[in-house]
Amino acid sequence: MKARLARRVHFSSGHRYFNPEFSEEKNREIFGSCYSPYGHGHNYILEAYFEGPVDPQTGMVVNLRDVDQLLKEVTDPLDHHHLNFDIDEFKNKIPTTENIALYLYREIQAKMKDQDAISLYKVRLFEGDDLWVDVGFDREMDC
Amino acid sequence: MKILLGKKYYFSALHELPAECKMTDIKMHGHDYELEVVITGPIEAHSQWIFSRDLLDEIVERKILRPLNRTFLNRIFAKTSGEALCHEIYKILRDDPDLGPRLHRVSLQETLKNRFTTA
Repeated sequence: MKARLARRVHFSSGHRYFNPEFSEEKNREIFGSCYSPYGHGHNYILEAYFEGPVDPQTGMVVNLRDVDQLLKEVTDPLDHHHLNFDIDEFKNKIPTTENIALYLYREIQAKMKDQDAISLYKVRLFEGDDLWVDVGFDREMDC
Repeated sequence: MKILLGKKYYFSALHELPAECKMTDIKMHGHDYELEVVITGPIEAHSQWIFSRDLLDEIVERKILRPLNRTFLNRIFAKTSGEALCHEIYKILRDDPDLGPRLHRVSLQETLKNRFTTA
């Protein structure tokens, strides 16, 4: 039997919805209220869901201390930065919530390769209180 | 890899359940409903998101929030239980030509004790 564990981390970043291949008018038309000349910021919440067997010796799926360390390493570079200017991933890619969630999913997974017993089930990235994006395996993600 | 995008909306409305559905003798009453609309699909190449936030807001505002907010739901729908409302909202959004093909699920929280999902 497997168990699933979710852990949260907060970070705040600036971003701009802007495609350099488009004119200002076209950017304004496509991104609507998300568009602004300099961008804007959000308080993001990242939830990472890990899945695996409960270790019979510790009673844990994964040590929360390790999870917190991993999530800090992944989000620290983004915290209090402008994603378009400061993060290589987003110098040629628009930092939409979808792209940030995909980036965080890949970053977490890359740091997990030695921990075979657990897997990353999904990440949920909240942009503010009312909008979120889930990225995960191609199966139902209803938790 | 699967990507879902969810957005929460709120509306308040009045309803009354038929006698056979009532657990108590509660009469006409209202709720602050929390509606969660979840969509899926590929990331669009030009915008790099799966759906326009403004278009999603506009559709939900026009088709759900404006018609239902501050109304007596029994004058709009034959059944107004949480599950029936959730189902009706899902059907309305599924029939929208832009949103329908991308709709993944709809959840409706009626109170902190109950939440309904149609997918």
